Amino acid sequence: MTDHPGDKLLAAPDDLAPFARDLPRLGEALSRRLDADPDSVERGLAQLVLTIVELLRQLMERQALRRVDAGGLDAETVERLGRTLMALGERMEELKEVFGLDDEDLNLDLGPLGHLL
Amino acid sequence: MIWVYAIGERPDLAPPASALGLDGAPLEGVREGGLLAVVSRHAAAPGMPAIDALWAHEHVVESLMTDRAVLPMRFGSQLPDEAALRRALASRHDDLLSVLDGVRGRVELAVRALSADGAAGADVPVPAATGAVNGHDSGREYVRTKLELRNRAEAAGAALHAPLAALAAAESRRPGRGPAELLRASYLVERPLVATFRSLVQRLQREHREAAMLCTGPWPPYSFVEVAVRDWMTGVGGDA
Repeated sequence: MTDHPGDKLLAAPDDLAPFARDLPRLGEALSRRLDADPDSVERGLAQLVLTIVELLRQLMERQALRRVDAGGLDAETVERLGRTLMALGERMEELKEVFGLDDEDLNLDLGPLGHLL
Repeated sequence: MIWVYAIGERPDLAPPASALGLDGAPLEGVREGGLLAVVSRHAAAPGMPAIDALWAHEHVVESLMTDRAVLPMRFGSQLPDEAALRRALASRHDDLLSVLDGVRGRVELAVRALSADGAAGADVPVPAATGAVNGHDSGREYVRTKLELRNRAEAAGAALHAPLAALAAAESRRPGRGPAELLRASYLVERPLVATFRSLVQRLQREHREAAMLCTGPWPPYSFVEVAVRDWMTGVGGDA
């Protein structure tokens, strides 16, 4: 029987911090509220738009890697793909910096479907 | 509204008198054939803080697991009334009994492994923007690096997953969140093997310095009954 959450740790590294990154999200998922503060609305909108863009970027990249893996692409095509992916990645980093967002911000909890990214 | 904690076998055995439901509500057993659903009744959504409510739910499920096989219900599983619950139990009666057979005497252990360098280090070192982009094969270099990182992460995850899965009666692996998560999985393990499983995790941790491993449990077999109970809970329940 569990009386304390710590009882559930069977094996853990000394530093638990990297595993705890999900905790704020858990709290949010359980008590999600819309933040209508005018100052944060713009950031919220940017966050939503960039989340979708980042999702598409990752899907494209994954698909591109699968295509390369499958073979049949000539060197020039792979080169072009690589440059496009690289440019997209760099652009995304710039946008995140402009809006003060990090990777954690560009994720949505889709409930039973899991996380978007 | 009826809050459902778990569906168990042994309908002759009442839920333990010592266990209380959300907001301290008394537990009730609803019998249907060979099944006993353990529930509490609420006029409104439970008022206790969410984390406390999660543990209260967990506590009820675990107390039931001490004397029977149970199908733990996901936190938030609700039905409008007892009639709806009985209909649901009756319509899936035999399926639920056979899923109970599959989890009897077994518990869920959850394992996560993160790349020890953390999220930043696991991503590709993007070739320096200026020089490399001008090089005539920088695109291919980028793709090659990305593929290599992906393959390395997949291999690292598989090296941890395979021995754990071999010890388990069933496993449920989910895609990692981001490139730094090498493994995210649950294992259905015979209760007497929990200590062995734990030692195996510790051994794997010693052998794989590239990963940081976290193992939690024993949990009720949430990840191994969801398919069986999801269908009828979704849609019939209130808004969780």
